[in-house]
Formats: sequence, C-alpha cells, structure tokens
Amino acid sequence: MIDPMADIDHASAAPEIDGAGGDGNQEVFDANAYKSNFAKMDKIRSFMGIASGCVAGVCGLTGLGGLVCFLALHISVNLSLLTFKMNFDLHSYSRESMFAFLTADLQKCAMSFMLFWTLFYGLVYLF
Amino acid sequence: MSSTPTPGSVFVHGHRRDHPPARTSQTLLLDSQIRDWVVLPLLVIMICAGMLRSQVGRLLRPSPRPMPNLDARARSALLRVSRLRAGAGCYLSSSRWEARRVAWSARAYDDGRVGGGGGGGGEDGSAERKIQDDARREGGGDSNDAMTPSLVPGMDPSTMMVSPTERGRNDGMKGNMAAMVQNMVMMQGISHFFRGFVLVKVPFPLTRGFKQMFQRGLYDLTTLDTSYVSSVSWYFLVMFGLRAFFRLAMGDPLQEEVEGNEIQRELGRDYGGPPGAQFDAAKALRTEADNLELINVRSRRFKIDDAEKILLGKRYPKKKKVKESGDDVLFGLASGKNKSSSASSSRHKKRE
Repeated sequence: MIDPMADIDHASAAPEIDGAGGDGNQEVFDANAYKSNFAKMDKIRSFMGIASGCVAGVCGLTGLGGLVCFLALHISVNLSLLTFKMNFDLHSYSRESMFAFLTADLQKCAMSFMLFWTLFYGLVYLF
Repeated sequence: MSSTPTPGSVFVHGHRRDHPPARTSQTLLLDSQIRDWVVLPLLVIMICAGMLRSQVGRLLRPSPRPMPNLDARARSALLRVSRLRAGAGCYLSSSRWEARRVAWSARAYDDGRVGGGGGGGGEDGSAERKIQDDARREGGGDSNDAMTPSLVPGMDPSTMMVSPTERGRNDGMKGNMAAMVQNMVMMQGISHFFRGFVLVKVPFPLTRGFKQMFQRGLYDLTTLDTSYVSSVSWYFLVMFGLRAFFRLAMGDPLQEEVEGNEIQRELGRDYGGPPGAQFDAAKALRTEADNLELINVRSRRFKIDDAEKILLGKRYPKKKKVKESGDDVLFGLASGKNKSSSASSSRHKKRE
C-alpha cells in the first residue's frame, strides 16, 4: 500500500507566520500559505479516503466494521498530519478547533471510500 | 437460492457458499463477465466523461476582459488598505502604521481642505483621495461595465457559481446545466443498456425500502438481498465517489475558488464582497476610509516596538543601572570613558 504522504511536499507548512502573540485580536495570516496548506491537506485526505476504501474492500469488512475502519483511518491520518507536520501546534496553522480539524471533509472522503469499498469488495469476493 | 436462472437475470449463478466467519447469509458469486463488461467499463466511461466535462467547461469559459483602469486602481487601493488593517501590525512599528493609516484615510473635503492631515510615510500620500476624485469626476461612466473577470491575480471572480455578476451567473449556470444534462443522459443510457442484472453487492446492509430504487428490473427476485444492486445505483456510487478522485487528479479549481473567496472575506471584506452588478469605486473607497478612521480607537501593541526587548530578554539595559564594563551595556554610552567604550566594542566584535 502506498504511503499516502509520500511525494506530497508539506514543507511549506512553515511559512505560516504566527502573529497571534501580543497583538490583540489581529493575526498575521498569510492567505497564500493558508490556501496551499489546505490544498495539500485536501489532497492527502482524498487519497486517504480512496486507499482506506481499498483496504476495507480487500479485507472483506462489511457493514459496521467497514464504517469503523473508515473512521479510524481518517482520524489517524489527521492525527499524524498534526503530529508530524504541525508538531501539535494546531493554532498556528488553522483557526479551527481540534475536533473540527479531525473530522474535516468527512463526507467527501466517505463518498469515495464507499465507492472503492464496494468496488474492491466486489472484485475480490464476488467475482 | 436456486440455481435456475430466471429470465431477467441471465448472469446470476446461484452458488451456495457460506461466508467464512460462519454467518447465516449466503453470498452469491457473480459471473466475471459482469465485471469485465459492465463494472469496469462503467468506471472508465465515467472517468472519461468527467474529464471531458471539465475540459469542455474550460473551453466554453470566455476569456477574461480587461477591466477599466479606474476599477483596477480602486481595487488595488482596497487591497492595500485591507492588508494594513488585517495584519501589518506585525511588520510595522506603530508610528509608521499610524502614518499609513492617516494617509489612506485622508480625503478631500469640498472646500479644498484636506482632512486628516498627512503623515510621513505616504509614498502616495493621498492616493485614496485621488482615486475618489477621479471616481467622482468620471461619474457613472465607467461603471457601466459589469465587473468582469479581471487580470488582478487572486481575486478572479471567475466564471463559476461564486461570481455575483450577470455574466458570472450565466457562466456558472451554464456549467451546472451541462453537468445536469450529461448526468440525465447517462442515467437513461445506462438504465437502458445495462438492465436486468445484478451488478455489485454493497457491503453494508440496506433496508427493504431501498429495494425498489436499487434493483430496477429485478422485480421478480423478491427474495434477493437488498445489498445486491443494479446498474443505476452503481452509476450513482461512481458519480459521487469520483468527485474526490477528480479533485486529486485534476485539482478542482472550483473548490479552490470558493475557499479562496472565503478566506478573503475573513480577512476583512477586501474586495467589497459581492457589490451587486457594478463596482462602485467611490462608495467602496469612502466606506473603507471611514473604517480606517474608526480603527484608531483600539489600542494595540505592535510587535516591532517590543522587538528589542524580546531579542535581548534579560540583557535589555535598564535605565538605572549603568555598568562600566559589564555585559549589559551594548550600545556604548556616548559619554563613556575610553576604557568602557573600547571594552564594549571589543566585546561586540567578539560576539560577531
């Protein structure tokens, strides 16, 4: 299984400047960095949705097991994004809460997860 | 399940096979010809159709018209002002920020007096005022041009559904219409050609109510598990699931546009949001100047002013203590003796 984070350069998470220090309500928010970070995270999550669909299909999980697998993989990928790329510093990279970050884009990934789950389950077990 | 094929389901072989974890349901094995000729080709067709649709959309999009000069100036002025408001507090010291603020919000009053006073930092000191004057002079002449996709990077209200103007709306709807038409056509075609057999089994249980929707053409198999679906539902699954795939493969410009606009709106109403059909430069500039003047009420600390303190930390020289040869003295007192100044300068050199 391909490592979903290979080849995706997330190093530009760095140029985001944290200005939330002593400046009242103002933050320095570099829109370009924000946009590019989020585009990359979006890519990672989509890829994760597809790959986890393949995994669930090949393993033959059905029903609730598949759903649990999807949620677990989604959250673990987001957690590892947080750990390895953001060093647990969520607030200098985005304005959401932790929960919102961990469950972001859940529906979009769920649709592609379902497609590939069905496809691979059928390919391996039915045909 | 019996193994005699019923008329509408030629490809279904009924094998009894217990699923390994000893569950009570039985799994049908489907003919691999279904896979070769229906499932995978449908997938490929829909991938190609999606790509075709996006390319056609790109071709159909009209090329961006250049914007009238006045609007471009006004827009870039607004951009600079909003940048000042939003975040420049971390890069400028307080006096310079104040000077810029005053310069931008200066405006011409009717009797020729310039309000607000000038600051030192105005490279185009009353730029906003100049633009306002021009805008007022030209009246509504130029604003007849609807706000068009402009050449200013990053603020392209490009043709997708987020654009507020006439033309933008038309193009967005055109794109939408094309997608809908294509979807309907394909649905009809698929349900016509691939009718009457089971395609795949969805791995999750469905209730009986869905049977009618998902198993078109298989009415006589009333005992068939609802999980076995026919072609139309596979079509829907693929349609929804491939959106993410296309975002990966081709980069979804619509998504980026929408998110980009949201961020710009968060940053403080840069481009005047959707200003209706026309971009009223004078009014926008006037409101921006008002907002700028109001901001002064908030007292804020500028990081640059404290930069020396932050850098030096404990070694920041305090006013009362004057050491002759200590490390604290970095700046070399003007009235210092030769010994102390040479000591501090040598220390300075060593540190470098």
